[in-house]
Amino acid sequence: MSEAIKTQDLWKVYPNGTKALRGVNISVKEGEFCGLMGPSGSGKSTLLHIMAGLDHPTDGKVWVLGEEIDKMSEDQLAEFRMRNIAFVFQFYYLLEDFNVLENLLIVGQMANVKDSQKKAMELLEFLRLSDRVKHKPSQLSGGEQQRVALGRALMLEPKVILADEPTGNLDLEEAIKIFELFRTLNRDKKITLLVATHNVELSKFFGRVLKLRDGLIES
Amino acid sequence: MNIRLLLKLSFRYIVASRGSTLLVSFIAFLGVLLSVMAVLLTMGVFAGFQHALKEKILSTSPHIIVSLPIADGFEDYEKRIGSLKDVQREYPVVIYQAILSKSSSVQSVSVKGIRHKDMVYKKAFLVEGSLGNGLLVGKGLADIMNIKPGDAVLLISPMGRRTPFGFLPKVKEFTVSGIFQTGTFDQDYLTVLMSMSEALDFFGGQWQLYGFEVFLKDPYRAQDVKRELEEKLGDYAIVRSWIDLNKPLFNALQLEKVGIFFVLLLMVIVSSFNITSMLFMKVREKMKDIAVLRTFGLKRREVFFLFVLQGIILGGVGMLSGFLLSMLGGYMINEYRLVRVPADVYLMDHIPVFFEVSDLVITLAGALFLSMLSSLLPAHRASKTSVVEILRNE
Repeated sequence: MSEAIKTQDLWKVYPNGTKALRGVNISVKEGEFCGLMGPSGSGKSTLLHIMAGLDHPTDGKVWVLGEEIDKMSEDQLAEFRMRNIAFVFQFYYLLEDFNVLENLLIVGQMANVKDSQKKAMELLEFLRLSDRVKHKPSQLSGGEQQRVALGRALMLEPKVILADEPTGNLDLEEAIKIFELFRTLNRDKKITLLVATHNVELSKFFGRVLKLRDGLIES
Repeated sequence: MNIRLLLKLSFRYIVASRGSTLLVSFIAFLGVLLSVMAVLLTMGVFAGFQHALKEKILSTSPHIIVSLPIADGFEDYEKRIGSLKDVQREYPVVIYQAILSKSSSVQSVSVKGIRHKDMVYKKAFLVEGSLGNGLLVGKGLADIMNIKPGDAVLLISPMGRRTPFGFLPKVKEFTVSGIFQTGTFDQDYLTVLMSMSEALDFFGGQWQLYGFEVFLKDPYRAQDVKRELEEKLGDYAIVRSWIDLNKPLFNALQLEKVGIFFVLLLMVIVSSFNITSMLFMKVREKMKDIAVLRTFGLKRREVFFLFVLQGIILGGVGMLSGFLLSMLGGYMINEYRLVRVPADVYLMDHIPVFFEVSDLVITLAGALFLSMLSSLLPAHRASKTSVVEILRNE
């Protein structure tokens, strides 16, 4: 099985001198459901941002789906993300001025997804949100908002989903529901998932766990 | 670039403004609306005045004046002028300078001698009396000298005769048969009309100015006809169109209009600053959205266009509303004659509004361009914002 994500001696040093990553070497195979665990400030978000091409490493290399993304321009990265990677945030970051359906459609239209309306409705049904289509994000519970965020990510038909503490704002029951969805997506759609969390109770969902501490991989 | 999507996002971001952003958006919209309206209506009044003045001049004054230094071949000249297809009518005139006197009142006047049969063209301007056989006096002059139809007045010609007792001017009493009013100063205040034969009889065949007053089917072709006449009549004839005769007046009006336009354009510029403020607020408010959309593949230049579009949309809506309200305002001004002016000064009792296409195009395009220009800075800021910075600060 080929590698979906690979980093080689990845460093990230912020202008204030903080070393967020100190030579990280990881490899995630295609179709893997991988956990990225570690305490706050261990560098999980920085690593995910670099893997998504949202941030640049100070040193080292990053390959996603075989392409070295640290060499790409801003526009190439944007295009690459649109075609391959979806990001799920802890705070959902839904567009507040748009309803649930529109939140999905906007991303679909950005990526020129065919039949985006039909696809969005199917996804909302899959995420058990069919009765929330016209609701604004502020009218939804945290779990529902995260499911909408997941639906938005799935509109791009990504090969890789990177999730940064996606259940950090949810209670355990809701968190488990989200992780069950992740597992379904990984199993049925063969999507590679790298999910950062510090909740050990959710580690049972992962096929493999990468532990990050002080900018270094422990295992 | 998905323009439809960017338009959709831009519209929604404007419509969904809340709190102080909504207020600033409304102020920006109102600013563009009012400034566009002010520019268009002012330009409309200026253009309206120019048009009304032109119409006034064209309906009362000859469109072309042909002056001849000598009377030789007078009839031949008339035939040649009348042969042009653009000429509606033409008649000869002789012009003398004289002094008009009644009781103790004395005025210097131009006496225009017109053939009796051509006097009929002046009938439309008669306000008192009739054409008759006497003098026709301009309304302004008649008011100053308290002249009424039937009054006897003295015409004094400076071209008198030498006698053993010194130089004696010619003096003759005439009866005033009518008062005319054209609305133009030089005719109403400075001109006396009389029959050509009587004028020649009284003033003699010297010191006068011969000429023709020519009226055209289309007065706006005056310059072309003038050139044709110059070719046809030769070097002796001096041909001047109504455009030549009124050039200083219209140049002054045009200069004034251009000056006012640029002053009012400053209003549009200042109002477009509101768009800049509004968009800066908007960029701040939508940082999170920018980060999310960038994460999902929106490019920097698309973020830039997203905010430029918002500026253009807001400015465009303000501009269109300003345009429509100007049209309404123009209609009201014309319908109810709202811009009233003293008729004895401006030759009209009200100024109509007339929207010239060039004024409309320049103002509307200018407002839109300024709206776009004012949105560049905030749009640039939005596009340059780092996604990670935003996410980290959330």
